[in-house]
Amino acid sequence: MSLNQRVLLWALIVITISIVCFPLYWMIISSLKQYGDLFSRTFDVLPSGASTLQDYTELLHKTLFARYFLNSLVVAVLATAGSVLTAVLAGFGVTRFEFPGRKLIASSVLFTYMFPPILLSIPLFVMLKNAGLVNSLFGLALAHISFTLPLAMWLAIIFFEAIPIDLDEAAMIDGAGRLRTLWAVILPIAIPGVVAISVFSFILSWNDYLFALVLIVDETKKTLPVGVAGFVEATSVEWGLLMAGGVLITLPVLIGFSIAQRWLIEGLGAGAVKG
Amino acid sequence: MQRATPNPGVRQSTLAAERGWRISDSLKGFLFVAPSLVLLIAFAAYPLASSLWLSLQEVQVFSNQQEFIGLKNYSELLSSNDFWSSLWNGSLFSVATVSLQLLAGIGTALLLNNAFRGRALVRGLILFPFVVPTIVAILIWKWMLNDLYGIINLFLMKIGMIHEGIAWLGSPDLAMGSVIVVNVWMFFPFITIQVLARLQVIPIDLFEAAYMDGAGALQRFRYVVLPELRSTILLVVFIRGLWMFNKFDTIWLLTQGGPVGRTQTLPILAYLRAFQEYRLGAGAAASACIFMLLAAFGAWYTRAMRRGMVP
Repeated sequence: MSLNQRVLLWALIVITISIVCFPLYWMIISSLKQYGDLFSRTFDVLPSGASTLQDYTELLHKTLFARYFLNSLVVAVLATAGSVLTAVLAGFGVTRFEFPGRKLIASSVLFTYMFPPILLSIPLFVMLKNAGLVNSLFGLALAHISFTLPLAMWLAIIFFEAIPIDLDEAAMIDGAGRLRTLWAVILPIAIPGVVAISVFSFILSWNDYLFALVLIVDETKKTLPVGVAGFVEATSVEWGLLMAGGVLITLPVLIGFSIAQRWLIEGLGAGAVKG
Repeated sequence: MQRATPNPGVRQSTLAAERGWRISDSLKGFLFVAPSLVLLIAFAAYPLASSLWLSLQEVQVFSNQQEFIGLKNYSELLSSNDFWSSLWNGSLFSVATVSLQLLAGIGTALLLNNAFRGRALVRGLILFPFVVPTIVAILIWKWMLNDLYGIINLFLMKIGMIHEGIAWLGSPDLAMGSVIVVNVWMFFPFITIQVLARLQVIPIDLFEAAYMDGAGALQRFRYVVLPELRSTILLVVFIRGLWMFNKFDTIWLLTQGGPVGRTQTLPILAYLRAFQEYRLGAGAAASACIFMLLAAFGAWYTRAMRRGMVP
């Protein structure tokens, strides 16, 4: 590569990264600015003025943010636990057994995943309302299973398929039953896959806005996306608070992502991640 | 880890069949799948059917009464201007976001496919918009696009392109464009990663052969890279097309379908009917229309793809 080409390449890379990352940089900078600096109406992209964590402390003490955070956590953990548990069993069943309808299950999983969320939200609202589960975190977690489970199953099938069936046979020759084979032999090997599936399910649930909007009314039961979106509808928008909230909402996802990065990219390659 | 195969489980199944596993196994296998199946039926298949049924009803949310009214919700929907403008807005939004995502995605993938120092880091960074939760991405963009204090307006004023702040999301002529830009920013990394993965398995001999034949960079892209990317692009256009047409949260959070309905798409129309006017039947009819349009698109697309009509 000639020098000119090198320069061009790096210029393009810098431009691309700026476009991609500037909004996130700007969120962090804005969350640390003092109130006056935030609204000074001067163009300055460098961190200027004194930094302060005031927005963070105010967010945690004067708003329901911490409550929303806890609610989101409860819902995401419930939805993740439910879908990962059943998806692992299903992945094992689909790749280790021969039974009628097996292939149909494998292929219809992705079809489910294509359902318009708005289409599901209306009947889910009616169902959960009749069951007395509207305005309940448990009810919301059940609703989230409608989109976390298909993804979890799809990934579980892919992951289990990659584990040689000879291992099962060896275990069964040694006298292990099916459940014991899954628990003692297959699951330990599948741990990275299970972690990845959990992270995916968690992020999907953590991100959901529509179902939470439709199924939760009570202010103290709201999850982060709906609760924080409510701050914007207030008469005077406190952008510093919102940016601090943005940073805190992103943290769990970043942690999950760094745990499962390798698998996440594989999953993206498999076209399995919704956005 | 293996890449996704079109029919997961098939390889093992033939093995299992060859080895003559016992018939009683099939019941056990079904038992393993049963919990997932029950949940999927309860929370996906049943709601789908129930939605179609609801779309034929007049539903009173508060008194919980239903009355069968046949296709009245549909006839009312199809004769309303709202429906047709939402369909137009949604199609515009989907086509524009998917094509721009494709351009940005392929562009960045080609860029990152070059060898340079720190490539792994840059590839990680490019995923950022995709990893950041939707609500966060929206909040940042609303802040950056703010008419009074937004950094974008301040920048444009600084370089003298404008003299006062522009209401990017509040003006009827600009709102759709702004919404499209934000969505492209959020979702193009998905395509970058997919195209990048595909680029890396193109045999290097192909490039060498083209180079020997005197093909320039553009020609190499047109005759070597593009044909190799064809199946990836077709799949991505399909999946992205569906999901952008279904998109609710990003548009709703940015503009709530406004100003004056200029960014109102079908999912937003369905939401408004169901949860703001409390007409669940009418909302279900609107969302059923989305489903049928997508199913028709899916059927057409797969057929066209098979016949090679889609390039």
